[in-house]
This record gives sequence, structure tokens and C-alpha cells, in this order.
Amino acid sequence: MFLNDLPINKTGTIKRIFTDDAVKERLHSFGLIKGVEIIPVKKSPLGCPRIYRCLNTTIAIRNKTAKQIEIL
Amino acid sequence: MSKTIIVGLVANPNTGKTSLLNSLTGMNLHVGNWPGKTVEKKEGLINFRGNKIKLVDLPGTYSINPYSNEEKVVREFLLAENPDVIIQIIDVNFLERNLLLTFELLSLGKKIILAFNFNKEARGKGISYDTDKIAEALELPIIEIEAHIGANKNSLLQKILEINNSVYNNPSYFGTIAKGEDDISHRSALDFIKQKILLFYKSSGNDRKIAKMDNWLLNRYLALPIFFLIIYLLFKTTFTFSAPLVNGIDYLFSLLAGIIANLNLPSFWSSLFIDGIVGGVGSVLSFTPLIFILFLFIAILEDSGYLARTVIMLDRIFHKFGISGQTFLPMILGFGCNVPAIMATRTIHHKKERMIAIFINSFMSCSARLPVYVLFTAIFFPKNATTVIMGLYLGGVAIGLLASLLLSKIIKINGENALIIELPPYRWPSLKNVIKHAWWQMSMFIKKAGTLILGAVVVIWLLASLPWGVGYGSSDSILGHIGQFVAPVFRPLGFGHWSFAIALIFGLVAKEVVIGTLGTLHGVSEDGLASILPSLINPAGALALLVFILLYVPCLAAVATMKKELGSWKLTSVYAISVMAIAWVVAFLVYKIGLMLGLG
Repeated sequence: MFLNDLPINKTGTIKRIFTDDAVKERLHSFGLIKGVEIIPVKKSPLGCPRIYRCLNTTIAIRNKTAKQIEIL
Repeated sequence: MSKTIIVGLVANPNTGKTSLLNSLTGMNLHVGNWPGKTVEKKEGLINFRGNKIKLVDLPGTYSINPYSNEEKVVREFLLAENPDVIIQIIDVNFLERNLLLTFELLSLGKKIILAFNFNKEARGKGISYDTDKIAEALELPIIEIEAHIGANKNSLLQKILEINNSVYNNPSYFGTIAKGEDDISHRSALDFIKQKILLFYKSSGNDRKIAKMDNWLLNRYLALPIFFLIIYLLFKTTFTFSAPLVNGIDYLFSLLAGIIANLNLPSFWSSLFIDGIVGGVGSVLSFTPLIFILFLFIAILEDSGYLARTVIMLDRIFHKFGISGQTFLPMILGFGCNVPAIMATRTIHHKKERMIAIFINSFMSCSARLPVYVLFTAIFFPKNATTVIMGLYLGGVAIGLLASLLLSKIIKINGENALIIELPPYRWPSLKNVIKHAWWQMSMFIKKAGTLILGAVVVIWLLASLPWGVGYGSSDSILGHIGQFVAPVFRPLGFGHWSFAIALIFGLVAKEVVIGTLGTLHGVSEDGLASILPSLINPAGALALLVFILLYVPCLAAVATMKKELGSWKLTSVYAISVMAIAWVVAFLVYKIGLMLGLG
């Protein structure tokens, strides 16, 4: 399953990130690292990006990017 | 005399770094740009117990990883300038994520002090932690501060002296998180945090305040109405507050002009001083209240955490045009004045997107263009004036979006802005910080763009006055000859009369000057134009002229600001030539279509 499919308020665990390296590094620096829990908390007004909570931080990620983040 | 200790301030964005810098340095701050970059560089010198400490503020960043596309300035500074000590400010509410940057810093092998900020807020929220134990586990000194009130700043400075005199040792655990020579494994770093640090740090989990505020401010139906209400109030107050200041400045300059006129200088000199220099300085200064107040509001939006929310509101639409929601706010500000709007693109960290945002900003029709629209539509389209003006505004936006789509395909640097952004907690901005921020922006504008604007205005004055003795800006002046020379270029657009060409050149000083120039050239007041203009152009030509005014090179202040923000004459010239071409082509089409629709 990928991050964009995870329903709001359900917890997932990051398994693998398939983006290019630059995006991957940026995700890493926000704490989106293998084994870390992530929860979608809200959609933005137009539905994309969605807002997630990860390591206590609130971050917005486009669905296009979330589609490349595999979760358990 | 001891050597100056160089200290680099590093932090994630929104951790209170600016507050700390302000409380440590007071007003004693030097602001400039990093060499070759348009990123702000702030430095402050402090004397503390007989020691000189130079604080260098580095742009807020989530990573200094060599592969990341983020602010390269931070890594370059830390490697090249070799600071004696690094202070990392940590928002203790988000300890785990902040520590990821700490571990990246460790890979540089420099002395590090951690400054825990927002302790009161975190403990009030129910987060409990033992700073001494965390310091012990990290093998790094930690000072608890409250940056906005300057608490514990002396302990922090004292710690700088201590650490500076100590011998550097890599923490014993560093081998377990290192990856290669200059990088770390985020995964191992996080494991280390979980096993060794979270023993002494207990977080309550959810942050209800953020969720509650976001439910309103990012509500599906309310988000945009709230945003536009805020922007409306922002414009309303900006223009209400700056109008008396601008008028006051104008008044002082008219007094000055009166004094100079009474000096009985030879007419060349008195005209140079009054029309050229006083006029030029006046046009620079008339922007300053606007910039100051607008940046006061932008700083409040940014520091309160709202700016990041505006970014995601319309991202979905902007993404289709190759840019992100980060361009939204600068575009909206452009409707007020393109100068601060172009400066506001500094909130966009992605280089390519920032360039696009700067390029397309002048298509947002600024308030100086409105009087021209109002005058012409009243004469030529009295029944549909509002529709025509609305059409011009929307047309500008449409062309701006199309241009960004095109530019995002043409510009071949560092890919697309993936827009992964933090939505920081909502916090009350500190008045001192926002005033200081607005003050810097204003002084940078005067220093950098101001000199360019002044020079350009004097050149235009000279062209309008020479050969000496002709009427100022008349058809006999050099400018007049240039106008007559280029007028045929505008003939296919329906406004080939030489007076329009001259007015358009004067319009470079400021768009509203177009009206005054036409009045002067035809020797009539603004009302008199109503009877003269219809004999010079037909409605289709008038429409084409308005479209041209919307799209062609913006005022010199905006161009000077672009040059400053792009950091390149070449790009600025490419921009100027392209918008001239775009303006010509679109105005041509509008004229032809207008004729077909019977506006001839």
C-alpha cells in the first residue's frame, strides 16, 4: 500500500521510498524514514496536498509524491 | 586582544532563530547577501566579557546533507568559513526531527552547542524531558533558552567561550550513525534517538491546537474566503497607512523643490535638482512606506504559521502550471505593488520556481496601472468599463500562468519543486521581530534598488530635457525624438501616434505617469484628454494600448528590484525583451480581434 491510499487518521509505517534522491533526502530530513509511523490528518481544501503527522511534525505532501512512498 | 570567535547559527525553520539573533545582537546587525546568492546574510558582532563573538545567521534549513537540494549556503559556509562553534537552535516540541539535523552537523566535525527553545510552551503542552540527561546521552552541551524574551542568553554566550577553548572530540556514538565521509544514516540516527534519547523525552502525542486551527483555516469551504478576507484587510490597511506617509514625503519634497526654485540657480541646474534628482529620490522613497507596511504583514503571516497554509490552498491548480502554491502569495501581492511582491518571492526556496515567480509577477496588474485603465475605459467603453478592467486583470493572471507553464518547461535547473513543506505550529509573532524584518527589507530596497531607480530617473530626465531649451518631454526633446522614432512600431497595434510612444517611455518611471504625460504633450488637463484621445485612436486601439500597458516592462522600481532579486543583468534583460515581445504580440491580436468585432 502507498501513502496516498492510507485513510485519514489511520497509522501507517514507512517501508520504502521510490522517489528520486533529492526528494528522498528532503523526506528523510523531515523524518520520513523507513520504520517511522505516519498518519494522514487532513486534506487541503482542494484535496491535494494532504497533511500528515510524522515524528510529531505536521507536513504537507502532494499525492503525486505520496504515491511513491510505500507503507505497511 | 583575543581573536574573534566565529559562531554559526543553524536551525530548522520556525525554531526562533531570528528571535535569538535579535536578542543577542540588539540593533547591532549587518544585513547583506551571501556572495553570488540572493539569500539574506545577517551578521552581528557582540562583546562579551572581553571577547569578541561574531554571530553569523544561516538560512533556516532541514538538512545540510550533500545530496539535498536545500539551501546550499549553509553547508558551503560551514565547510569554507570554518566557524569556531555552531549553535543549533532546537524547537524542543519537535526534538526528534530537529536532532536529525544535529547528527548531520556532527558529520562536519565541529564544536556544537544545542539551544533548546520553546521550553515553556512544550512543558505547558505536557511534554516532559530531562535536559541534563539528554545532554549526557548526546555528549553535547545544551542550554535551555526562551529566544523571544532573551532568557539565558548570557549562559549561552558563556558556553560559547567555554566550548571555544575546549578540545573537540567526536561523540563516542558517532561511528554508529556515520555513513561514508560526510554523511549520516538517518535510519541509524533515528534508532539512536529512540534507544538513547526518548528515555528522557516523553511527548503527549497529538497537538490539538494545530488541528483545531487548521480545521477552520484549511476548511474546504472557508479556507479561500478567509484567505481573501485577510488579503483584503492587508491591502486596505497597507494603502490606508501608507497613503498619508507617501503624501507626507511628497509634501516634504515639494517644500524642498520650492526652496531650490527660490535659489535662482541657472535653469539647467534647478531643473536637474527639481525634476531629476528630487523627482528620482521621491520616486524611490514613495515606495518605502508601502514596502515597510506590506513586509510587516508578510512577517506576521510568516511568523504566525499562516503563510505555509496559504501555500497548500491552491497548490493543486498551480501545480498544473509547473509551479507550486508558494507562488500564490507573491502573485496576489502583485495586485498591490510588484516591488514588494517580487521581494516576497524570497519565501520560495526552490531556485527555479522563484525565478518563474519573479518573471511572471509584473503580469499581475499593480495599482498604479488602474488609473490608466479607469481613464481610458471611461472614454472609450463607458458602458462596459468594469468588464474591460476585470478582463485586463484576469488576462494578466492567465498570461502569467501560461508563462509559468512555458518557463517551467524551458528552465533546466534542479527539477520541479516537490513541495514537501512543514506546517509549523500557530504562534503569536513577536512585534520586535516583525518590525525589524520589515525595516531590513526596506533598507535593502533603498540600498540596492534605490540607487538603480535614482540613476534611471535621472537618465530619463536628461533625455526629456535635452537639447537644452526645449519643452520638458516635448516632441523636440531627445526623448520626443525617440518617441517619434519608435511610434511606427505601435502603428500595427492601433496606437501609432507619437504621443503614445513618449507616454509609454515615461510610463517606465511609474505607470500612472502615462496619463500626465499625454496631458502635457497635448497641452490639456486630464478632462481635456476625453475630447482629444478619440481623435487619435479608435476603441480597438485603446484596448490594445491598455493591454500593452498591462504587459510591457513594469516600472523601473520593479525592474531594479528584479535585478536585485535575480542577481543578474542578463536575466533581467532577457526578461525585459521577452515581455516587450509578449506585450506587442498580445496587443496586436487584441487590436485585430477588436477591429473584427467592430470596435474600429
